[in-house]
Amino acid sequence: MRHYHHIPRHIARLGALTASFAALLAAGCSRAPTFNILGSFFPAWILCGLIGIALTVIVRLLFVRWDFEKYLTPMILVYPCLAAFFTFTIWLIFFS
Amino acid sequence: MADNDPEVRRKRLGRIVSWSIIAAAAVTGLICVSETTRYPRTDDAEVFANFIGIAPQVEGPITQLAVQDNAFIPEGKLLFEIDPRPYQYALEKARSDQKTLEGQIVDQTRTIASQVSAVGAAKANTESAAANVDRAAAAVKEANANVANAKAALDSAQADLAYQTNNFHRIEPLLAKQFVTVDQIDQARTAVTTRQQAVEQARSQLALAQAQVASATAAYEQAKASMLQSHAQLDQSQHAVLTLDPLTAQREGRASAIQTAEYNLNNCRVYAPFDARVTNLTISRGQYAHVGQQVFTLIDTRVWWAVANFRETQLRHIHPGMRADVYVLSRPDVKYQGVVDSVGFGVLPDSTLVGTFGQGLPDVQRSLNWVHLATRYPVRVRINAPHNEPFRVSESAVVIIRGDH
Repeated sequence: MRHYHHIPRHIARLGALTASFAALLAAGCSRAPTFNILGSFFPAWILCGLIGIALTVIVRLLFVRWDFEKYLTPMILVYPCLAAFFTFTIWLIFFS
Repeated sequence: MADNDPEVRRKRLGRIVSWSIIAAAAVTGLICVSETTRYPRTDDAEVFANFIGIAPQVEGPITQLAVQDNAFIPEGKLLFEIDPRPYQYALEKARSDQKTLEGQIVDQTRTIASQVSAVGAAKANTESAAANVDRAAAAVKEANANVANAKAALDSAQADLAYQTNNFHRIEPLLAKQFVTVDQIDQARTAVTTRQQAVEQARSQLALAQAQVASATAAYEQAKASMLQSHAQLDQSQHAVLTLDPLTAQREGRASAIQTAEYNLNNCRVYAPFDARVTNLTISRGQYAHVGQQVFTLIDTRVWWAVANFRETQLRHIHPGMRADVYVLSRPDVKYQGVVDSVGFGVLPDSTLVGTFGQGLPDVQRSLNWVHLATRYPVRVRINAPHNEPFRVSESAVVIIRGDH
């Protein structure tokens, strides 16, 4: 019961965070989809993938904290798909 | 049941969240695929500009080098100068040759005038010869008339002689009967003798007149022959008149020699053919420049392209005239607008697939490749940027095709 009441609030907070982050970066949208790291150019999708994985880790920690992970099925698909979703979304927002 | 109720709802919520995540991943993935298909992009791109190797059209030592490496040179500015003196001298010689020719033409004109006068003289000679012929013909006629005259005189003398002879024979028998005197007989005989001499004289006059006819005829023939000769001389002198054509025909040649010399002299100074950046300049003043041999390189900075290598599967979505975004990685925050100029039509074949071309038998590689990499073709995207935008050839770039709008 306690968890059930908390989940929407946390999800809403997470959504707001993501949205504000997106809005922040959307301003500088016209940027080359390639990043220079010590003289090597890395494509943007690698960065998007890393951020997506990081966000997935955060979301998983939240799920664990809310004791919600055990209700996710099939879990072997959910987290990769969540990472892919974040990756695709970030890429679409910033680099398409 | 009261405990189970939230548990069931949480289970249901868990299922909804799970499948929502999977569906969202699928949907965003599909959107990404369609996005990259509709708007092909590649980071396999480089900034490019056309460039030329600047080479002189005349040879000689470089006496002035007006540019430095990496300098910007506006169109028409002097790049370098080759020692112009030999070409100046060549031009002077060509001009002097032309003047010589003009002098020869004047000389020849005078010679021709003199030959034309000679023709006039020959013509006068022919007319004089014709007059001579007429005169000789008249002389022949006169001699013929003289012959007729002499014949008439001879006839008259013969008639007179006949009369006197008859008269003598008539009166001679009368002497015996003393009807006539001896003196009368002598007179008659003398008259006969005189008339005989007159006949002889008339005959010789006739012979003389006939001889004169022969002589006049011969003179006539001679006059005709000399007339023919004078005509032949007229023809000869007419044919001997020279023409100016061999000399005037050389005028174009001499004029073109002057133009060539001027062209070479002008080419001693080499100017920038367009707004350009000097590059690969490694020489100094004094370098001996050879015809057609590059001295340094000029990058044509008027038009910059991004040459983007797109996979063959993407090419059907790329057409000349499409807009494109170009990012130059030395300034990744700046977005340049570009236009697709053209799409490449050929790259070097992959030697591991079709083998190498050569004489003899085809060199074909054995292979067990299941996965083949897509061939990439260069697409030229013209960058619309201000004229002074500092691009460099072969800078890394990213090109995103934005369609027809």
